[in-house]
Amino acid sequence: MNRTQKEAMCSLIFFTVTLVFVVLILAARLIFKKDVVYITYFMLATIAITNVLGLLYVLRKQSPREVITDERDKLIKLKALFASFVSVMISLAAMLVTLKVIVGIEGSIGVWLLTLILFVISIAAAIVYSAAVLILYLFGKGHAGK
Amino acid sequence: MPENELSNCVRRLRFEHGQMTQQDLADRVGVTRQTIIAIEQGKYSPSLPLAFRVAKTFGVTIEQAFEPKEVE
Repeated sequence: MNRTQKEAMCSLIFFTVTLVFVVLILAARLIFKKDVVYITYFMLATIAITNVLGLLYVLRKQSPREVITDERDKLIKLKALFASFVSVMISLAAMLVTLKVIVGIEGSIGVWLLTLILFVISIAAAIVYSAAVLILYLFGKGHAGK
Repeated sequence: MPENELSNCVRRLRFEHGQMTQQDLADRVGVTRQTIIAIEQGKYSPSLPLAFRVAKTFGVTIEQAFEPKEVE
């Protein structure tokens, strides 16, 4: 794997783990009314360890003269960025429609919920970007400059 | 409108030049090994500067290394 693939894989794992932990903490706190201190510490420790291991893995080179990024990497990143942008638009639209259905057009939501929505959409966008990079490496066809 | 793609004989040229590895060729032309793999498999058409660097590495003309083919 080259640097771009490794970065995408590590990002995918990191953000997926983060999303799973956030969902677990929210479920524990809101649904089961449990104390989340230990889960939070465990989450932070797991994220810190995966970050360090991921960084060591990414920085390891295939060869001493390996380039960090080349023209094909830039093309793939651009396409993945577009996919991520589209996923943000779709997620936002879905969230707005859902909120309109649940609370009504004159209803209101707490500020914490808006923060949570934006946080989840950001993580989803990062996951889509990383997954798109990996998929395009496997199956994508391309021409330089397209 | 037909889509123009490139066919290439990069793999054959590598073997003809002292069994050069994909990593070695990648290092010489300044791309990653995955890009060389994609070029050889026809999944990726390189830019003109890259195509020239590949041809120059093997000491051949760009027409000898890459050939356009029309795909309907």
